[in-house]
This record gives sequence, C-alpha cells and structure tokens, in this order.
Amino acid sequence: MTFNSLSFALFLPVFLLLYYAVCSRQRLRDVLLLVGSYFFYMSWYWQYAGLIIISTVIDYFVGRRMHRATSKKERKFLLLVSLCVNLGILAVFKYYNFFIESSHTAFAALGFDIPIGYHQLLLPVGISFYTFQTLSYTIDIYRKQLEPEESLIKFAVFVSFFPQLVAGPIVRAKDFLPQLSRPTFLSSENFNAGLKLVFIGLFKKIIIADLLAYLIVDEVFKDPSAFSSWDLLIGLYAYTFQIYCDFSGYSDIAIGVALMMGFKLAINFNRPYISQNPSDFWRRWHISLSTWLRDYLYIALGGNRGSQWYVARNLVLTMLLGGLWHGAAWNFVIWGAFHGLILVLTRNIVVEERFGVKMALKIFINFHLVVFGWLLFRVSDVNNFTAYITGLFEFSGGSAVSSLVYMLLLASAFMHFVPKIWHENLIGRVIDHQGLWVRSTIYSLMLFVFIGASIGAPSFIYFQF
Amino acid sequence: MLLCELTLEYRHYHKGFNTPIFGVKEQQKEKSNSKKNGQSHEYGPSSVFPFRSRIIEKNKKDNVRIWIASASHAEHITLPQEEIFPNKICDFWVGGCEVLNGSKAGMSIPGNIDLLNKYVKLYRPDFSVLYQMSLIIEYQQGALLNNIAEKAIENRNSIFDISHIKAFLQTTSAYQHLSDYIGGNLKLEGFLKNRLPKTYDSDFELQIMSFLETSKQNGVQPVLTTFAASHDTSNLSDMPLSIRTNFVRYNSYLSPLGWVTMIKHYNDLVREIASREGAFLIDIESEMNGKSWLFVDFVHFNPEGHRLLAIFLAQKLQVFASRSNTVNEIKEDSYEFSSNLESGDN
Repeated sequence: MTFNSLSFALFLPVFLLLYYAVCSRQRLRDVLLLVGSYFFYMSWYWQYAGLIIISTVIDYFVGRRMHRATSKKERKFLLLVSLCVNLGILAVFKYYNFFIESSHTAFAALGFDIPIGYHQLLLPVGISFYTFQTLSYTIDIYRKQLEPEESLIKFAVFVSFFPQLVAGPIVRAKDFLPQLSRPTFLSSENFNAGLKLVFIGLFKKIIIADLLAYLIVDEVFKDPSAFSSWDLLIGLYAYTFQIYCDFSGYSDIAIGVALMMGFKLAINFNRPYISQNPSDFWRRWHISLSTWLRDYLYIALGGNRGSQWYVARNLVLTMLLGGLWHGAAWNFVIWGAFHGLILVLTRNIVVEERFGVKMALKIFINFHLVVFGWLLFRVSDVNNFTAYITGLFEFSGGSAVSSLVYMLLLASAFMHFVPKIWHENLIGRVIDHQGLWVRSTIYSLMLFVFIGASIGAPSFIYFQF
Repeated sequence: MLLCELTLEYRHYHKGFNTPIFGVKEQQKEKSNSKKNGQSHEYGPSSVFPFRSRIIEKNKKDNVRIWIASASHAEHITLPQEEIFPNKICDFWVGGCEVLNGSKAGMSIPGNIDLLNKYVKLYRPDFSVLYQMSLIIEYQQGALLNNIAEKAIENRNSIFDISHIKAFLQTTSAYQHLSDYIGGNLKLEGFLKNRLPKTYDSDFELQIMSFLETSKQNGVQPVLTTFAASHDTSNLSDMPLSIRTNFVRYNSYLSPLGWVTMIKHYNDLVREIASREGAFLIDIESEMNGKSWLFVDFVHFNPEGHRLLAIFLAQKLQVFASRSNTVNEIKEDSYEFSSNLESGDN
C-alpha cells in the first residue's frame, strides 16, 4: 500500500475516524495503532510481517535485559545478539544474492568456478528503515542514553508505526516513545498542517517526481545513446529533482499523517540542493539517515578524533556502508564511496553565512557534484554509465524533450532555490487563509489532478531501500 | 467530487454510454420499444441467444451463415443493432444470409475462439470472419509495460485486495474524463515508441493461426481480414487531439505513428498468412484505412462506415460462397454429430 495508491486513500480516512474515536484511551489507541500499522504492512506482503515481529520481540527483551544487566560483558553479549539478529535478517533478505554473485565474479576472475545459489525471496519493503530504527534503540540502551520501554505494545508501535514504516524518516526511540506515553494531543492546527503536508507530498510525488520519470528520466537512462547531450544533461537534472521530490514527498506525507494523529516527526529534508559543500548536503538530505550514520557508525569508528587519514578513513567507510544501505548493488557502493571521497576533499570548505558570489559559486559546484553522484546512483551497470558519460560529452545538438519537463524543473528549482519564505507565503495565500469550503474545493481539485496525472502509479523510489 | 461525478454520469447516460449509476440508456430504450411494438427479441443478445445480431434458429437451412469474430468494432453498443456492419451484411446479400455476431467489447482472439468452439455445433456457420487487430496490439503493449507476474504475486500476498473497487472506480465518468484530459495529454508528452518489439510478430501470427485452425477443425471456412483505422501515415497530423488523448488511454507504449505503423505491419502479416495458408482474405485496409470520415474515433466506424463495410464484406463473402460450394457439402457430413447434439438439446 503506497501513499499514492487507492488502497491508502481508502485506508487512511477509515483509520483516522477510528483513531479519533479511541485516542482519548491510551491503551486502546496503542492497540489500534499497532493493528493499523500491521494491516498497512501486510497489505503489501503479509508473510513478511513475521520479520518485524522477530525484530520487535528480540529487541524488546534484549533492551529490558540489557538495562538490568550489571556486567559489561553481558551488556555487550546482548548488544551482539540484537546486532546479529537484525543485521542477519537484513543480510539474508537484502544482501545475500549480491554477496553470492559478487563472490562468484571474484572467484571466476581468479579462475575458480564456484557453484552459485540465489534465493528467490522478495526484498521486504522498508526492512532497512525499521532495522536501523530498532538497532538505534538497543544501542542507545547499551550506551545508557535511553531507558527501555516497559510496554511491548508501545515498543511494537514504535517499530511499526505505519506513516514512517516503509520509507522513513528513521525515528529515534527517545523522540517517539515519550510521545506514546503522553495522552494524545489533537488540534485543528495540527490537522490542517498535516493535511497540507500530505497534499504537498502528493504534489511532489505525483506531479513532479512521477512525471519527470515518465517524461524523460526513465527513457534517457534506458538508452542514453538515443539522446543528444543536451537531453542527457536535462535528464540528469530531472533525475536529481525526481529523487528529491519522490523521497521528500514521501517524508512529507509521513510527517503529515503522523501530525494528523498528534505525533511530531522531525523533518527529513531541508532544501538539500542549496547546500554549499557535501557535509552541508548531508545535513540537509535524508537527515534521519545521515544523523543515524553519524551517531551509530561514524562516531563508533572514531569520528573526528585522530589523524587526518584516520578521519578520512572513517568518513569513507561510513559513506560506503551508507551507500550499501541504499541497495545491494555496486553502483550504490560506488556512490557511497564517491560521497565519502568528496566529504574528505572538501572538509575545509566553509559554509558562507551571507548570500553573494562566493555562496552562489559554492552552491553551483556542490550541486553538480551531487548531480554526478546521482548519475552513479541511477545507472544500471558500467555500460549504462559509460554510454551516459560518452553521450553527455559528445556535445551533440537537438532535443526531443517536452516543454513540460522544463516547467517541472522550474517548479522544482523554485521549491529549492528561492527563499523559503516565498513559497511558504504562496502556499499560505492559496490555502491557509481560505475558508473551509474554499480549502475543500482546492483539495478536491488537487485530487482530481492527481488522479488524472497518475500514469500507472509507480512506486516510491525509496521503497526498495 | 460526488456531485461532479453525478453530473458527468448523467451526461454520459444521455449520450448512450454505460454508466455505473444510471446504466445504459440505449438498452432501456430498446426494451421499451420492443415492448411497445410487440416485437420481442428480434435481435440478441438474450439469455438464449448470446449474439448482438438478428435472432436465428439453430436449425440451418439453405442460407449462408456468417460468424463475425471481432470485438467492440462489431458490437458497438451505442449504435442501434440494425446499424452495425454485421447486421447489415444480409441487407446487401443476394439470396439467403444469416449472421452470428460473436463479438464483444474487449474480446480478444482467444475469446473469439472460445465462443466459436462453444456455439459452432449448434449454429453451424459456413464462414468465420476475423476482424481483430487493435486489441491484440493493446494487449501486447500491456504485457510490455506491466510485469504481470509480479503484480499477481503482490495481489496474492496482500491481505487487502481492492482490485474490484479499483475496477469500479475506473468505470466512473470522472475517471474517464481525467484519464482523457489530463492523463492522455501527459502521456502524449512522453517518449512513446514507434514500433513494438519484433518478437511480438510471432505472438500475433500464433493467434491468427489458432483462429484458422479452430475454424478449420470445426468445419468452418475461415476468412481473414486486414484492419482499418481512421488515420494512416499520410493524414496522421490531422488526427484531432480528442482522438489522440482517447488513443493513449488504450495505447501506453506506442505513439499514434507507431500504432498506424504496426497496423500496416500486421496487415502485411495477415496477407502473408492468408496466402501461405490458402485462407480467404478480405482486404478492408485497402478499402477503408485512413478514411477518417467513416470513423467515430480511431478504430470504431460511424453508421456510414458500418454500411460501407457491410457492403464490402457482403460482396466479397458472396464471391467466396460461390467459390466454395464444397464447403457446405463437407459440412453436411461433419454435422451429423452436431445435429444429434441439437436434437438432444431439444
């Protein structure tokens, strides 16, 4: 059930009505949240709900036991259990085929032909997200930064909370569990803000991301040799905004739906393409993941302490694993390595405070580094990458791109590169200051446009992670 | 949204379309007319006669019986029965003629074959005329664009299957309009292709061959036809936007140019198969293709188109009938079994 599907359009109002009816009774509310979240997940592939149950039960008991344990050895052992179970499930379901194939290729290069046995299991949706979420819980308890949750139901809701279950943001227990312990706070302001975020997210997803994918991105990446250099460049820019609108659109909807239920989730994107260096970019892009990697991987590896080479190693390793988190394929690993490398090389570039030529230049250069990174991220294999790069630098003329693509790119650029207050004012004038009837009409019209524009309703890109 | 849907539905109902809320006006009108005039059941379909053509007896006399195997082109529910080409053929036939219109909207060749197999022993047609192409191309595009196997797995493993609700909502007038005006225009802006992959040629050929074989096995003389569309490469630029947007509702892979190119290519294949297999061929493409004034959209004929096609088919079929008198002789032997079956039914 994706957020832009009919199933979700039917599920959400029914769920919200039930939720508002029971939310004053905390226990009942928690049970409903749990049932709703599992229903949401099982509507995709019911068998894989078992994996979330395993992660939930293991981490719940490990967390409680770890909190009670007095010896460091036992705490370490319990942490190891949690890591092995969670990362083990991830390794089997997400990375097994990749490792088997890579080993086979490596051995073949050395002249050994080892037998190859793939599994035919589908990748469970959102497995990387909820695995990181539960891991952060046990690591925080191990570090004595968090008290374990007493209620299994509340903990299960934290792991499976449906708005952010399949594609984030990755929520930390210390941010979310206290909200579950408090009585639900509902307000019309929160509801309106949440609903607005849902519509903004749908707009980003259906109108910008899906259309860019259909109108140019999928085609130029399928056969780059069929397009001129200009079209390939536009295709690359289009993908840059497609992936942003796709993923940040999902996050907006997740945050919006949670807000309609009285929960506050932290923002996951903050106009990442106006960042001035790669480090700035990772403070603005997929914030919940980058802070997770920083807190649980980079710092665990040693962080900024040590020599320059040591820090560089930590950065590259963190980004390599961050790349692998995105998918079981070499292009994600290379994309991670590329970001690790540019993070190392640009560590001394400072972020300008005031707008000027320097800032504009830094944004321009960093934007194009990120764009190149997306090329590595999107290509299907080495041949695809070579064909794209060759076509890009052939400087061949002509264009087959529809003018609609330029309009969508302009709209995306407007979202990014003009001061935030401008589009906030614009949205405020169009929606916030209107009466209920006008707002309802605007939302209804938007729904009509979304339905009309949904061509086959492709999945959110980040579902595969 | 509901108000908007109701208004659109009422408008569609008045235009004679099938609407989820108001149903089909045409059928209601026909029902009431037949009651008023006392002419009940002149045309099917009915519970005992599943064809949209003049009701005939199962017992075959001297008349030539023609089975029309097609889809919405020959069913055309928004036109009165007497105006569609299958039911006009006999108007231009010299001698006795009866038609069984085994065509339904969305019916593909396997559907045509199933229907023929089901009723051939009861009605014993002499000729089975196959007029199919756009649906084959539509299904081939569907197979190209959707990973059907993956979708099936998803549906099987979901606890929330809403495919019926989805199918219902897709029949609503608002959806149809949005799909035409927004979805259609957007689709036309994309990189639609100018050809189906060559591998699909063999799929097309297999389907035509299976129809030929089924007909022959049942003692019916198969007649292949080429396909006619409203536009060809020479006048494609004149195709109105409304027809283009309607076109991409059914064709998500091919551009209008790609589609007319494929029609031409498959028509050439039909000619080749007919010549190789010694089957009768009626070249409708050469007579009617690209004559947009004979169509209501890109594949469906208007009343004049139906009339001209009926004349053309009647002329050609009459020639075939005179050439293949032996057909009837063969049938007299092979239908002994079916006569028994029929009497058993009675």
